[in-house]
Amino acid sequence: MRKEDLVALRDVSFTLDKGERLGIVGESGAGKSVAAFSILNLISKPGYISGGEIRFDGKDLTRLSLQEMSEIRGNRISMIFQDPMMTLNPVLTIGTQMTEALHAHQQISKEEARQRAIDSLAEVHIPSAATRIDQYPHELSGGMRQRVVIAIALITKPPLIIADEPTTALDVTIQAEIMDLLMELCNSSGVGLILITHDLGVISQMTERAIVMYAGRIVEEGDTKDIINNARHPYTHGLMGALPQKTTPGQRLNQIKGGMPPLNEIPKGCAFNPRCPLVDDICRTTRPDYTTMGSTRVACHKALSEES
Amino acid sequence: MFAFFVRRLAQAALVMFVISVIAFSIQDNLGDPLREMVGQSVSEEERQALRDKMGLNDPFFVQYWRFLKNALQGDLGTSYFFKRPAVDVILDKLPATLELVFGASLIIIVFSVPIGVFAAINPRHWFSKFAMAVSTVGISIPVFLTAIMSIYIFSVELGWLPSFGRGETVEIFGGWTTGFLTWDGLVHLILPCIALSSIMLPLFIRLIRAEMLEVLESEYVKFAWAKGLSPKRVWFVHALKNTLLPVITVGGVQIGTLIAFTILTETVFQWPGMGFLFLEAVNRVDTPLIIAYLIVVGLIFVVTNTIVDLVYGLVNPTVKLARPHGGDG
Repeated sequence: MRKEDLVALRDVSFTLDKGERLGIVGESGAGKSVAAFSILNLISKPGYISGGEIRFDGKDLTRLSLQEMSEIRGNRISMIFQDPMMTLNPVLTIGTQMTEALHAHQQISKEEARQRAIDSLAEVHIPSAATRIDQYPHELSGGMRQRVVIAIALITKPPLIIADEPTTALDVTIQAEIMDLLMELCNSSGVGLILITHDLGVISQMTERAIVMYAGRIVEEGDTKDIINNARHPYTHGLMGALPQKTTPGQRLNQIKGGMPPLNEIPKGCAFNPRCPLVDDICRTTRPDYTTMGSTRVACHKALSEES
Repeated sequence: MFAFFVRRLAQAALVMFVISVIAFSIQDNLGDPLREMVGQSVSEEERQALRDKMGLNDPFFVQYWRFLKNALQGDLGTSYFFKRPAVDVILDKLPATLELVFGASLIIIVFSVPIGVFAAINPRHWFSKFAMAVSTVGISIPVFLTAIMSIYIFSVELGWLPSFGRGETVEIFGGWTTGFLTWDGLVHLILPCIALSSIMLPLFIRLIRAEMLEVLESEYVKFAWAKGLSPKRVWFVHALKNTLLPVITVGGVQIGTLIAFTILTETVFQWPGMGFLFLEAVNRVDTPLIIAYLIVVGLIFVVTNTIVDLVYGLVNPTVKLARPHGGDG
């Protein structure tokens, strides 16, 4: 830690089993993306990892050299980014951008790599893959491009994929298609998934376990069905209540009042206290520890029990 | 491709027309060419008769129409001083200028790309900071000062390099004289090329660095890292190509400026090229030569920009030079 550094993530600790699908949810600024990008040490400069451990297959990823990290990236852990319009390089063909991932990690001939790329495109349901492969990104629609990005992520058959809000930049009908595709591919190849989103609906459909983040901390963690059906933290509760489905048409949508605090103004005690409907004196002074309630782990003095 | 050429040709013709009008209308404001042509003993009547004979007393549009008709046949008038067709006089000097510009461009490309890229990749390295500091200084020093300083240091004090002229040249295919093929010619090229490149080189280093820094922050470069590619591949395949797109555009325009800048460099180094010739022509009020120079330089401008557009289309796949349905690209 250097002086005047701002902390974006603190005490964020979670585990993921092989082939498990985990959702990370929270408002913008909660630290979801930073957490995900930290895993592959891809946080934008001047950000850096000041401490902690990220274990994958027994290796601590924070201690790897760039060379060793490159062997993990795209090979053992792949990423899918938010905006497919920006993720693909505009001056390289789809084929080049697919095969280079293979060439970086495997000894493979050009013809073989090309064939693998075509197969991969077909797997993500891109029609006439053999001609698409020689096209440039601008010749494809947004949904198509995200399919290509998913195909690139899967081409090396990694055991884990991190998807950072993979559908936020797409329109609603395409969103569902991409999520279905992702789900299908995860199921068929048994690949693990860390899915970052602010859509609780997506979390409930896609994941087995979920993490709720607020101001750089995990506030609640547990089985997705418990988080969705039986939220313990008032913040999770608020998020659930803010879903448009929960309100009758014509009524004002529910919201959690206020906004995510900036990193240099995180309140004392529980970071959520200024916005919390159940706030008490202790919330303003003492940071809550984690308590285990059923399958979930929650950091709240006023954690809601099942009756409430 | 063909449609692009036709459209481009029409544009070029329009630009050349405008240049010719401007260049031609300058001539009335340059002074009296007769004063330079004839001796003091020539009487006013004789001068008037000569003016009539040369058509200098005709209305502007008559003169311009005559000029345009001749120009379309490749005749830009006869130089008052050399008593030869102005185009021929300029074409004689063209190789010297183009070789100077070529040498300077070579220096700019060879140095600006590696230095700019290095400074973008390692912004905190001492060399990057040094290069940025020097380039600020380089941009602020005018060409003629760089030229005079380099003559003073390398020719006068150290005596390593010649200070003026082209040195020994050889003639290759059809009248093109080159200094690139003899040792003496090459030695004579060094100082003028450095002086001419001294303004553009820092500009391009800074441009490439700034563009590259921006590209390195882009999502697709981050995605390239996420794929586990080697740093070399991320920098030189993913980032560099995108960096060079805007640089090519600026470069095309700047080549024209470089040709214009040769006036200063050629004057300081007594380089027998078009720029030096132009300056002499201005001093002698050699109007046909001045007009011919402006038109030839304008033509070079138009041609290089067309070439740059073509190159840009080859490098950038999102630019289509010809649309199948004639859409405007």
